[in-house]
Amino acid sequence: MATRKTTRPRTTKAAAAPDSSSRTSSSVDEMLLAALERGDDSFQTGRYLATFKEGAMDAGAKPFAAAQGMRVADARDFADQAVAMENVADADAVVFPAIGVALIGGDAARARGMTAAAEVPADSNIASIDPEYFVFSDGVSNAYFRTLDAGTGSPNPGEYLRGFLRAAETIARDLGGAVPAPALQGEEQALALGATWGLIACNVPPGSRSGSGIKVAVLDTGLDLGHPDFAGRTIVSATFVGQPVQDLHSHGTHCIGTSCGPKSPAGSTPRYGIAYRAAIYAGKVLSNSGSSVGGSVLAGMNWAIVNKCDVISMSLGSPRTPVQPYYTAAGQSALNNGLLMIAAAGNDAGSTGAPANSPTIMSVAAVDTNLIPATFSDFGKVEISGPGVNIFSSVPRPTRYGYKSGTSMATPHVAGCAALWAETSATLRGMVLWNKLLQAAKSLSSPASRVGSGLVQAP
Amino acid sequence: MATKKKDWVVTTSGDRPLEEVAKELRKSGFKVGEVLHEVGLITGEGGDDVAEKLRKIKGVTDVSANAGADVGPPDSTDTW
Repeated sequence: MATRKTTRPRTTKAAAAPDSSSRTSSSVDEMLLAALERGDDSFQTGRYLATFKEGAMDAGAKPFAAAQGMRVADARDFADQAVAMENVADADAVVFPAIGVALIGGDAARARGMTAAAEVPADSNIASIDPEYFVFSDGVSNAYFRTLDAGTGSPNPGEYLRGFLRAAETIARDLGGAVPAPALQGEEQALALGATWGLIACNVPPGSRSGSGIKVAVLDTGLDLGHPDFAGRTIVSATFVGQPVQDLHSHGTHCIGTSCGPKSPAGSTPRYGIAYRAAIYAGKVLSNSGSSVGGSVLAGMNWAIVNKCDVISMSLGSPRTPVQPYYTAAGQSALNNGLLMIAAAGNDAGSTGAPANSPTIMSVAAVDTNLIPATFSDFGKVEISGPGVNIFSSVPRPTRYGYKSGTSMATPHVAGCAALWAETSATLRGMVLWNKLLQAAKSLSSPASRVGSGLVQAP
Repeated sequence: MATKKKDWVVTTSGDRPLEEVAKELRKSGFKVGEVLHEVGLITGEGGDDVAEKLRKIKGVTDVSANAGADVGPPDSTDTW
């Protein structure tokens, strides 16, 4: 046989130094990564905002720049003053005349003693200099904080977080993401019973299995590697998209939470994770924007097989795509190696998408709290169902927990239960494990084309 | 004129060493991306004309455009 030349994925390593990430042209991703890496939970980006005194902008901006020897970009140089931050290149500061504010890069500000800690001279055109803060989408965090309020009342998010959440809506809109109303269904039940409705429906909490000795690969947007709920866990990670594994999207952290999250999260947080002792293999095959790059999904599948991951969970796909021979081949390779690939059917209320439509990959549909197929859940080629509406799980810091809906959420319920079953017997692998999951599933009243053999059940 | 380049996935039968197949793909003008031994697949880039040539190579069972995958925008509550 010819010499093997396997392209090795880059393993997770720290990214750029914090200082170089707080330029005026730095992306939010770069700054977030830098903040997480320096263990900074102050929500500050490392850049500063100088607010000019009223009417002082025109008089103030140019002398301010000249006096400080700064390279300044002016919003008026951009059409409609829509500053594309990645295009301000090496400017030390960006001036926004319409609001009387200048954004100053971290290095430039520190070099000139212009940080928030420094006193602003009374005769200056500048009223104040303040740190710039990150802003996040709030659909999920609002829901979580409401849960806490309804429960024991702790922790209190505090005033700073409330402001944070308000600001977040703006950014969510800028990013083109909807800000849906948070759903609360099932929450009261979760708090009362100490576990999410999904875990209860799958009969997870009474079981004694933990997924110990089982490797679960989750091919997704990565994982928040510093999330406290995963401290001390065996985590192997690799990226296939040219970005660090650190999840800046939230989808991957949510899916890993359901399949492999802890048995007893801290405080009043209900149990949301299934195989709490499984080894986690986090393959980042989707970028922080949530899409795949080139052959990243296939490279991730290959990696999971090389690492002999007993269960390979894929909450991803392409809608209205016919069966792809390459996904079928990958699924077959997994089965030949005694491994099981599980994929989400899809959410466009149409026929099952790829890769779940491949005969060698187990397709998962989503049901709601009434165990009725979710309106969005794809149909046709469906093997089994999992809870997939209003699912509570982990999301990246600082939000930490949130709700999501989709066959994406149903899939890790199946993957987690598969890991528990695999732990019960070394013979339950690959196709044998596939058959066991279907045989043990709880029968539902909906047709097999919607829910397959029924709702996945833990041993 | 050459056709527009696309991402392709080449599925193989497994009865020829994958590197040998990859070599032939390159000779046909295919820009090989990754050679994935465990799954017997080769990813890469080329025009429709190149893809057509690849389909005739011994050991190649399928050449399909890479469908890609998606889970929607960051932090959304509704996903794939």
